[in-house]
Amino acid sequence: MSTTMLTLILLIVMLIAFILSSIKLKSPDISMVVAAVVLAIAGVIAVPELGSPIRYLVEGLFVNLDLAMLFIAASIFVNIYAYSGALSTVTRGIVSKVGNKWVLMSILGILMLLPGAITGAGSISIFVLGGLVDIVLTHLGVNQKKRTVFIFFFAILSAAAPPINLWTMLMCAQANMPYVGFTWLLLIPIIIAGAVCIVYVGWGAKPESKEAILAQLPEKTEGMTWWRILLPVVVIAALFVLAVYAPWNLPVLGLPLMFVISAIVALLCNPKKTTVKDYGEILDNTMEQVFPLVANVLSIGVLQSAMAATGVRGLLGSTFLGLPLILIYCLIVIVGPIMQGCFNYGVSVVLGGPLIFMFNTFGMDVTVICAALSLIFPMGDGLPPSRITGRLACEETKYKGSYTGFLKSALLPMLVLGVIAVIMIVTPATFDFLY
Amino acid sequence: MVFLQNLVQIIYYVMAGLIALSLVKSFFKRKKNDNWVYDIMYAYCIIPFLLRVLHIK
Amino acid sequence: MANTVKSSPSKRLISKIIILVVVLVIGAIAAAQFWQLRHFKEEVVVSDALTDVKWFSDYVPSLKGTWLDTPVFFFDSGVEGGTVFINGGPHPYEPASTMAAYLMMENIEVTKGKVIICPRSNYSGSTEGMLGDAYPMYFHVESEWGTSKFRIGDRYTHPLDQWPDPFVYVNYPSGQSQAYQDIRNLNRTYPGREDGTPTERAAYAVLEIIRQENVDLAIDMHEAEILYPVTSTYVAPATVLDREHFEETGEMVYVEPERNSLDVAMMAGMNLSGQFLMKSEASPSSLHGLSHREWADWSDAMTILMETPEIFIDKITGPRTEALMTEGKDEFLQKVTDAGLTYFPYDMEFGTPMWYRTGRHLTGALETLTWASMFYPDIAVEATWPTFLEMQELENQGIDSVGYFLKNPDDPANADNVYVIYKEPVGENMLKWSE
Repeated sequence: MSTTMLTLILLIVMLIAFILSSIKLKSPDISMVVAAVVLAIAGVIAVPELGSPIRYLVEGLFVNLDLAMLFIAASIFVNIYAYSGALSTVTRGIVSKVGNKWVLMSILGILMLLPGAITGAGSISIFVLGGLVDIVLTHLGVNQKKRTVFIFFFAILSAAAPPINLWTMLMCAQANMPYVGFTWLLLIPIIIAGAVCIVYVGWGAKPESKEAILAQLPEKTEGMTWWRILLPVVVIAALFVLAVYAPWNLPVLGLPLMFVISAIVALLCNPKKTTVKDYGEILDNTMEQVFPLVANVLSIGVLQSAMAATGVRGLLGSTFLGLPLILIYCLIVIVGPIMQGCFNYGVSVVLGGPLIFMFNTFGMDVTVICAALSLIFPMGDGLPPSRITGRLACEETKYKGSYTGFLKSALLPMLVLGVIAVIMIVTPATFDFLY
Repeated sequence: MVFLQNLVQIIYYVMAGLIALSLVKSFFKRKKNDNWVYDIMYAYCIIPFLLRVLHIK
Repeated sequence: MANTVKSSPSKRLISKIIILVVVLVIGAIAAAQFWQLRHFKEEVVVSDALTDVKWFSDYVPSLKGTWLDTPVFFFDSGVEGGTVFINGGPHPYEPASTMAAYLMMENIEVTKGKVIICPRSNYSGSTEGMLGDAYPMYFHVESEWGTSKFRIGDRYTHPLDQWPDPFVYVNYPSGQSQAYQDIRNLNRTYPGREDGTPTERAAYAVLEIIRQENVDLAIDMHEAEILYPVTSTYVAPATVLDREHFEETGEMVYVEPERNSLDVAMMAGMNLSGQFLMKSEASPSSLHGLSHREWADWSDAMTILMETPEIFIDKITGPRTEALMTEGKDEFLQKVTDAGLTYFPYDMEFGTPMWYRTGRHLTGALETLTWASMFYPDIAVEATWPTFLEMQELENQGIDSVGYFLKNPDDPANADNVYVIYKEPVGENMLKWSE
């Protein structure tokens, strides 16, 4: 049997296992592991030389270990910060100072872009600002589904925004291209798509009166002052900036430790009387709250390992790369995000690198193409099986409706971003003035 | 700087250890999702933190 | 059912314990394999030409006792001439690099000048596999006297030895931003920092070897995916950094080097065309952290990086077995080659076998020695070791040519020459038989 046929059968086996498991167990996370185990066993039966899969399946749990730690640390920071009453005070401040709906939404959008832009991780934007954005949008009369879309879309835009775009960096690393010249190539499409998203989400929303909003918000916490609110955020922002602009003057702290440090600052800035037991409870609740996400990122690594080992990853990658150019143009905006859903940042290496090399041989401007791909891939963070950012956004707004319904709602802004990116890929030379 | 870097690394091992402990606690006793599916998920999510703390992987 | 099934507390506890035990057993099986890989010790029967063994920690004392320490072997003819440094295993997931270094060490004879070989320059990285890529842990080589086993490692330093990663890696001193995990990539951290991260210190140690040992020609051995344009290529700088100008102004200006390694590489490549395809490419001055750029910029040595074709790195392969690593026969890579997307005339009938890749490095290095000596007779080095043509001849006779040139470490006749490659001396002086 040819490798293509064999891996196609394995892919089908994997999909069946994933679907059945999702229906039966009602958890996409464990279903990824079940699919991985079934795939690995089927792989060993088909190709005995693969040997015992236990080692590489367990190895898969380590692929996103640091990401899991980041999610835990960031959640701890946000929950301690929110507990202190800082978030509700800031919300009151924003609502009472800014009256215009569109101005307010634009400010929220820009704020959402910052944490992800600096750290390269859209989830950070959700952790730091998702709660605040959700409250403000609620009072602006935006419905729950569209609030989720807003938070999700600005989170993926923030991940794609300069100065740190991980997809671009990974592709640059692979293609031996310097990571320079991407600022405007990434930023202009992000501004356009962001503006579309603001109009789309805000259209038709009827804000309550300022007084009514303020009346519904929690009372200002006793003793809460501006410095108490700002200090934890200033500390985390300062650590981000120092890591980028003074990297040799301090040890590598890593994002999890940065959030832990800021959590400690937030704890010291908390004006409420809080016992050690209270904090223990916050930590316990945080761990339970963040666990499904931790399980999600650890599980996707296991599936990635199994797909790599059995050649299913090779089948997907080589089939797409082998398509005629016109089909690649048409399908990249679909296949790119789907592969992102499967491989996370790994898509840059599996698909991004080879595409860059391919367009390079056609003599096309690969800086523009690399930027365009880096705008397409992040959209997959809302797609199964991993759907990390989409899921975080849903959790932030407590959206319990159908996930497909949410994705349909997010389609318009995603389509705008996708179309811009495809135009960039098809006619890269038109955009070279941007760098 | 080398000392500070080593110190940060030790802090990370401690963090991984605390997370592993917390997961073990939640495995046995938790408020949400108290079913066997989550039991399995908690169990396998402990593994990477545990092996990291033990300096195995 | 995923929903809570109310059962008696004791039953529930028993089921929990069973689940935990099963998962821990699976974890323990994997842990045993991880442990074995981490502590596996390779043995090399080093040639009588050996004159000295030093360690990275002799150049950067803070590396002593860490997993980034590694031995460096000196072969000094005692006859005045140049000095060559050969770097093996900078990316341990490219195993032909270390394999070539071992074959050199076992068979080398030096008649003029000095040869310095480091077979595992990122020792830490060799002690774990590529996460999420399902690499086999070892590959085996058959000899007349038995089977030898060698590790296949990671691209990066093991996280056990360097943790955490930043969210962006900034190369010193260029200030160039790169993907976060490249802070653990030896071939992105040059010229390194004496007080930096472990990988940066290892990089600094390599530079110190080149500077303190007055190395005239430094060769870095790698392997590359065939979807990567720089596969099957020599990379060497046509211009080098004006260090004085940089130290005075902080501005990076590039000037003609005193000795031109690109000329050497181009002549060597052309001369090799009868044996195998070997292109030559100039090292870009805008891309930092790589050996072919930074070694030349921060020392007086000529530098050349060699890439062999290695399809495992392409990621889009079929099932990832040991045979795929040692034989390199893959249908998917054939498909993308047929679509014109690869940079190597790949033919799956032949594949990219280990002997072929190792042989290319052996002859590729020898050829640069020859041409460097012709261009610059004052730094001539004369050395011999097995060549590509010798290996090809053996393969034509059905003999495993890699195994043919490996000596038996268990043969008492080799007792005085068997060195154990580990992060620190094994026994008194790292000799197997002195234990």
